[in-house]
Amino acid sequence: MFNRVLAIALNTFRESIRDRILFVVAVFALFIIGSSLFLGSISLDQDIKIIKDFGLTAIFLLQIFIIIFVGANLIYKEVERKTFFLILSKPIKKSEVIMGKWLGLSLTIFLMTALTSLMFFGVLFIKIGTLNGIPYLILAILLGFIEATLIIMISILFSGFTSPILSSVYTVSLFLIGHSSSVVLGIIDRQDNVIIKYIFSVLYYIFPNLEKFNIRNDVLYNSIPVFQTLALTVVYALAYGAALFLIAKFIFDRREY
Amino acid sequence: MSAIEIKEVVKTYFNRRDSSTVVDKLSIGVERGEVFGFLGPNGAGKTTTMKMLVGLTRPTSGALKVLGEKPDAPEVKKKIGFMPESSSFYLYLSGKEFLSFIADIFGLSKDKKEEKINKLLHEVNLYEARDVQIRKYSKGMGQRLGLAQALINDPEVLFLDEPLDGLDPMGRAEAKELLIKLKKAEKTIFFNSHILSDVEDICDRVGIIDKGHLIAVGTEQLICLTEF
Amino acid sequence: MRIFFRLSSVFQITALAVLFLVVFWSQTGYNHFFKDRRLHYPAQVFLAPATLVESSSFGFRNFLADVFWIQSVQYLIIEGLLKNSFMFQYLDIVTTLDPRFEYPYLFANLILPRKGSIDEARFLTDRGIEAIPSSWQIPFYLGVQYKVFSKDYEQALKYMNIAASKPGKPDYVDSLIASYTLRSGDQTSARELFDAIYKTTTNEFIKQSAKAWIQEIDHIGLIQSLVFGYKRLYGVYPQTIDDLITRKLIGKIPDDIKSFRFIINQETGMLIIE
Repeated sequence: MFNRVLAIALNTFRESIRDRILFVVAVFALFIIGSSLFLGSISLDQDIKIIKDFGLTAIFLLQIFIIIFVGANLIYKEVERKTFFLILSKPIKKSEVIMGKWLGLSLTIFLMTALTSLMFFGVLFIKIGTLNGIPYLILAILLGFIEATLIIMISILFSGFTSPILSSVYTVSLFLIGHSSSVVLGIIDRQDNVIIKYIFSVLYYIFPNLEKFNIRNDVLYNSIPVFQTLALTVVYALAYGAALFLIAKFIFDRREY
Repeated sequence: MSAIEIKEVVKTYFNRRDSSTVVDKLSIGVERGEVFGFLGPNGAGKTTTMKMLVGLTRPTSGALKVLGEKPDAPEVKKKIGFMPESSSFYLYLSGKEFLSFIADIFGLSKDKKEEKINKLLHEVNLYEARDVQIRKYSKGMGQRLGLAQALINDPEVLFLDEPLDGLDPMGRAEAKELLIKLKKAEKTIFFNSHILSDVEDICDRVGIIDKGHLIAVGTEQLICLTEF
Repeated sequence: MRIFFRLSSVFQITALAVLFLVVFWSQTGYNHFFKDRRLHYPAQVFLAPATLVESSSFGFRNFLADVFWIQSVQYLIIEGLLKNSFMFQYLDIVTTLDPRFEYPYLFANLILPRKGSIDEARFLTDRGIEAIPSSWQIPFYLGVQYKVFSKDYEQALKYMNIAASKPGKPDYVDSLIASYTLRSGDQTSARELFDAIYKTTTNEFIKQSAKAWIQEIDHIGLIQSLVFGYKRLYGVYPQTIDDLITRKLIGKIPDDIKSFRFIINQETGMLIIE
C-alpha cells in the first residue's frame, strides 16, 4: 500500500512542481520579502521587525496560494482529463489516491517553503548579521506548514465534488473562518439566546480552529507557546486531518464516474 | 470460464429532475482469447459499459464478471489493462515518467520496470520521444502511449476505448498489427469503436449497440447477412 | 498593394500617436483644474475603526500592524499634525493589532500632545503600559509631555512614578520626579526625594546634582520664610521677590535659584515656581 501511495505522491509532486503557477507565487513571495527591505527604511527604524513580519507572512501566503491555485485543480483536472479513470482502473484504492495526493502536495509546499525560508533567512542575516532568533522563526514557519497540510486536506475534500473555482472559494472561506475564532468566541459570549449560543458553539468546534497554528505574532516578542500547547496543537492537527480524510474517502466512494 | 460476462445489465443515471438509462438490459459473453469489437454511434453506451467492466461504475441492475470475478475486485484489476477514450494524461510528465508511474502502481520491481517500459516504448514506436513531455505529443503519440500503459502489467484482458481514434493510416496499421500480435499471445481484447472498418480486420465477433440496446451480436458475416 | 499597406500602417501609427497626445493633454488639463480644489479637502477621509480592522485581520495581526504603521508615518508627513487628522486612529489601529509593538506608543506620546490631544496619548499609553510591563519609556515620555504641554504636574508625576517602578529605568527619572514635585509646589516632599536620591545613587553626577537641588530647595525655603516675614512686617505679601531685596530683608537672591521665576500667591503667600 505504501508504495502505491508513494507513487501517487511523487507523481503529484512532479506535476505540481512543474506547474507554472508555482513560479508566479514564488516571485510574489520574494517580492514581499524584497519590499520589506524598502518599507523598512521608511518605518522609523522598525526595519528588523518589518522584515521579520513580512517574511513570515510571505512564506505563509505562499503556502496558502499554492494550495488554492494548485490544490483546487488537483482532483478536478484528473477527472476532466480522465487520468482519474485510468488510475482507478488499476489495482489501487481511492483512499490511497487521496493519501498520495495529500502527501504529494505537502511535499511540494515543503520544498517551496524551505527555499523561500532560506532566502528569507539570507536577507535577515545580511541585515542583522547574526543568526539569533532564527530557531523561533523556524518554529513559526513549521507550525504554519502543519496548518497548510490541514488546508491541503480541506482543498482535496472540496475538489472531489466541486469545480476548481468553487473549491477555491470554499477553501478560502474555511481558512478565513478558521482564523476568526476569537470573533466567534466574542459572539458566543455576548449572546443571551441559549439556542443561538449553542449553535455557534457547535460551529466553533466543527470548523477548524487555525489560529492555534499562528505564532507568527508571538515569536517576534520571544514568546513561544509552552510544550503542552504545542503538543495539543499537533494532536488537534492529526485528529482533524484524519477526520477530513475519512470524509473525503466517503465522498469519493459515493461518486459516480 | 469465459473472460467477460455481461448479464442483463442496466445502467441508469439519476439527475435532479430526471433519469437517463444509458445501458438497457445488455447481455454479452466474451471467451478467452477472443477479440470482441463493440460497435455503435457516439452516445450509444459503449464507454459506460466499459467503465462498468473496469470497475469504475456499478450497474444499476444485472451482473458483470471479468475472469469470473466482479470487476472492482483488486485481483481482477491486476490482470486487466484499460485504455480510456482520448486520454490526455499528465501533461508535464514525459512518456517514460508516466509509464514508470503506472508501473509503480502495479508494484513492478525496479529492473523489471525498466525492461518492460523500454520494450513497450519500442513496440508502440515512442522510444525516441520517451523523454519528451506529454503535452508536446501529437494525438497519435498520445494514443500509442495510452496503449502502452494498458500493457504494462501484461494483462490477460484488455479493454480499449476507441484505440484507433486520431491515428493516421500508418498509425492505424501499426496499432492493428500490435493488436493482432496480442491476439496471437492469447489475450482477450474488448474494444469500443464507432468505425466499422477498424473492427473488420481484427475482431472475431462484433456487437452493435445503439441507445443502450444491443442490436446484434455475432461474427461479422452474420451481421451483414442479417436484416435488422 | 504593398505600398497601400505601408501607407495604411504609417497612418495608423500616426493616428495612434495623435490620439495619445490628446489623451495626455486632456488628462493634464483635468488635473490642472482640480489642483486647487484638492487642497481644500483632506487627503484621507476614511479610516476603519480599530475593532473592525482587528476582526478582519485573520491572524495577520503583526503584518497589518506594520502596514498601518508605515502608512501612519507617511500620513504624518502629509497632514498628521493637523487638528482633525487621523493620527490617533492610525496609532489606535496599530496598537490594537500589535499591542506589544513599543515604538508607536512612544511616537504617539511625541506627536499627539503636539497637536493638542494629550488625552488620546494617555489612552494609548495606558494600553502600552499594560501590554509592555517592562517598558519605562512609554510612561516616561507621557510624563514629560504632561509637564511640557499641559503643566499638569499631577498626571506628570503619576506617569513618572510608573516609569520609576520599571526595571532598567535610568537614574535621572528619580531626579525628574523630584524636580516635578518641587514644581508642583510640594517642597517638602521634593527635598525628601532628592535626599533619598543623594543617599542611594551610585552615579556621581546625579549625586552632586541632588546635593545641588537640596541646596536650592533650602534656599527656596529661606525665601519662603522671608516672604512670611515681610507680611508680618508690612501687612501684605511682597509682589515680587525683588521687593525682598528692596526692603533689605535679604542682600541678594542666592545664585542657584536666580533662574527660577517665582510668583507669590497674594492670598496665601506661597511661592509658586514657574
